[in-house]
Amino acid sequence: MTATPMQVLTRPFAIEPVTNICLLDGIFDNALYNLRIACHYTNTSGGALNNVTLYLEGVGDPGIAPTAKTFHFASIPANASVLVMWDANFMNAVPGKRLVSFVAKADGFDSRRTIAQIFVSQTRFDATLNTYTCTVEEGTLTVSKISAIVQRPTWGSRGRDGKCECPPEGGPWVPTGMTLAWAPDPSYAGTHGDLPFSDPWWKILAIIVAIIAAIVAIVAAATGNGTASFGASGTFDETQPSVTCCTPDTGAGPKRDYTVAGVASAIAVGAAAVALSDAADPFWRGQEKTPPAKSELTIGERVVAKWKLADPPTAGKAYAAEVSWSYTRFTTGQTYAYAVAATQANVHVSDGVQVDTPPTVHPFKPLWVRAQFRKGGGALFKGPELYAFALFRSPGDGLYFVVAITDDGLGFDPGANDGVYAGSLDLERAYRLLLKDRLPLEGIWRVYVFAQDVNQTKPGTAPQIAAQHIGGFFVSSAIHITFDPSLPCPLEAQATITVT
Amino acid sequence: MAVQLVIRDGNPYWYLSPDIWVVPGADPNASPGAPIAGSPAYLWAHVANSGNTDAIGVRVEFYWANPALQVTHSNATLVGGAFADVLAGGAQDVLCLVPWMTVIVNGGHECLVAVAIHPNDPLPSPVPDAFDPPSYRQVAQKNLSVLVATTQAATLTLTVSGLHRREKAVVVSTEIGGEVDAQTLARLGLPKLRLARGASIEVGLDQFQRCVGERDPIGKPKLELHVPRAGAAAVHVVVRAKNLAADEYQLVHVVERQGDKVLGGLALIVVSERKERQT
Repeated sequence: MTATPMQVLTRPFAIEPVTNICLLDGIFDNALYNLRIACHYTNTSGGALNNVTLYLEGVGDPGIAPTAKTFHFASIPANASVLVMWDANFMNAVPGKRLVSFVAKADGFDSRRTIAQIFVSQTRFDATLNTYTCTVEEGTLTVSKISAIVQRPTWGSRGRDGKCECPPEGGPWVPTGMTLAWAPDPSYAGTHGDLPFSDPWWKILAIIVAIIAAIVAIVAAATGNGTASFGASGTFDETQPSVTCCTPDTGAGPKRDYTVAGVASAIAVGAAAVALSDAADPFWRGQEKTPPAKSELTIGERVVAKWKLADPPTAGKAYAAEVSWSYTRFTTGQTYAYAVAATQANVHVSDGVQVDTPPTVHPFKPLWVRAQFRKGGGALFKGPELYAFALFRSPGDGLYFVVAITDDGLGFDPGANDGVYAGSLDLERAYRLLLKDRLPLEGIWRVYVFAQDVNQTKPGTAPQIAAQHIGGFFVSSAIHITFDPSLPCPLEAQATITVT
Repeated sequence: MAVQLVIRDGNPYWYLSPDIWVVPGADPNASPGAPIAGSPAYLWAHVANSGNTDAIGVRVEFYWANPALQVTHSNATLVGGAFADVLAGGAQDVLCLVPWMTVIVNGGHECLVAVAIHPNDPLPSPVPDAFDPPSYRQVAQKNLSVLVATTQAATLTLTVSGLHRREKAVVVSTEIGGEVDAQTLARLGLPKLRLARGASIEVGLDQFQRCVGERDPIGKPKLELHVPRAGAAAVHVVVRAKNLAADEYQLVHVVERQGDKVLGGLALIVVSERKERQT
């Protein structure tokens, strides 16, 4: 028999299980102990495969402890990519590039193994110095002097009119500047040093730091201490305006969901990635402009960046940042400097999302949602280009239920790779949870959809090319950050379903 | 019959399992071969399920030990683990993605153990200190190394381990002879070697390490040892080639016995210097 034609074609990525967000560029950071190893598993044949099983075989670091789980699919259509993920503990993970292997087996075929690479970083917070360090094999990035537009006390509240809501827990801070110090390991000769993991720009580590700093408090609120290496983020130099939300909450629901707070934080700190540019980050540009003498070794580099945002960061919108940064190279011989002032815009844009749900559903029939996400220019995102999910909220101040939505031709999805992402909620399962809190099943359910792009870079791509492709940005979100309290509330349902 | 996991023992020498092999280098999908001291290698095992129930989420653990005869949890080091689904009546190759860094101190000669664990086919609890592959079909051992011999004697130091709670008296002896199957030779990177026709090597044992010249006594064929509990004793195996041809090998067994019971063993494929790691 031939090997099962199922493969993992792009790099697996990290999903934080409390907030359900995908970490930027698929990097796994051991500051968050519990992460999911997610990947799109693709049927590479021209025909449907039947009775397919997929499991994670192992990880090349004994400090990473995955949980055994086998996914079973009765059928996977031709060329479809299914989303699968495994819980793993990264508390003792060692920074670096690690191998991970997956095994697929379908009826009529032998099993087939795919070996892929994941990137692991280590972020730590020094409360004394109010600095973060992010360590990878190639060196350590220290992030300090973060300035930010910080959440106001009204964040975390919710409106009373039933039409709009605020995130139920936590709130975002929008970075407006930071100092990044890179200590390469080892010191290097020549113009450019090694990229982290030979792939993403150095700035991605800064964004990882920012996301970790933003969500550790959310993770701690959800799961208690002991699930992250540090429990709270540092302090910031606050700048105006402030992030605001709705009127104070007076009727908190029985259970909180942390997805919205995580999404808001990820979108907010994405402003730093926009300001520092996808095409070539300040380290690379600074290195190019400051070639050291042949006899010198670069022992350290520093970028001081500040930016202004005319508009709040919004998923999928080409919002702009007026940025100025200075780069300094420290060598064994002398110091070199270079500075830039420019306008950068978010390139992870979307022309909007179209959400389709049934108007009414009978109790215990599945609630389903279909969504189409448009790229800038109007074309649809398709198949494994997105990691997308929907939040279903039960009537009133009910519970949130997170459901992955996929373009794999399974369930309520009409066809693989057609640009329609679909998912469904089993109301019988939901009812059991609602009963515990004496919440109603019948009534108006609200639906919110979210999508992050996925790095599609093929393994083996040249580092400086691979670095220009960054995944994990929100291209669609039901939550919007606003600097103006007079604007509509930031979390708005994109569809409703009446269960009756 | 439920789940019945099997990692095969060797035959006739149980410590030469055909279901454990090594891929030296950085690519776990590369060809099998002999481990190279100081370099990474990947460990593989072939796990079968002779039961009538699928075994989902089998955990396979891989261990290495310094050259030892009876390998125990006490003298072994966990390399890593992997998961496998092994269907009823089927089998699955399992890869340990944690690289095994072969230590230089023993010239890359190490012993390997693989253990398949599944709640529907449990091992005794608590797990005995000795792996004891003949008693457990889920456990197998590969104690096979390549030794390059010349007319100048080569020495390999082995560990004879005591058990956690009691001392033991054992006899360690050498045996020359036997054949290695073609697959095992290929997995060691020695695909074209043939068994030497005559007695082409000399083998001896000693409790003390010494320099053995071309004309010095090679050592004893048998040693009686008393190993204190939780302790260990060293055995030095001395191998000297007499007229081993370039395309030949000779198999040497060093066996640890307690009475008639074989507690452990190690096999050496002795090759001439020119044939080492030929592919």
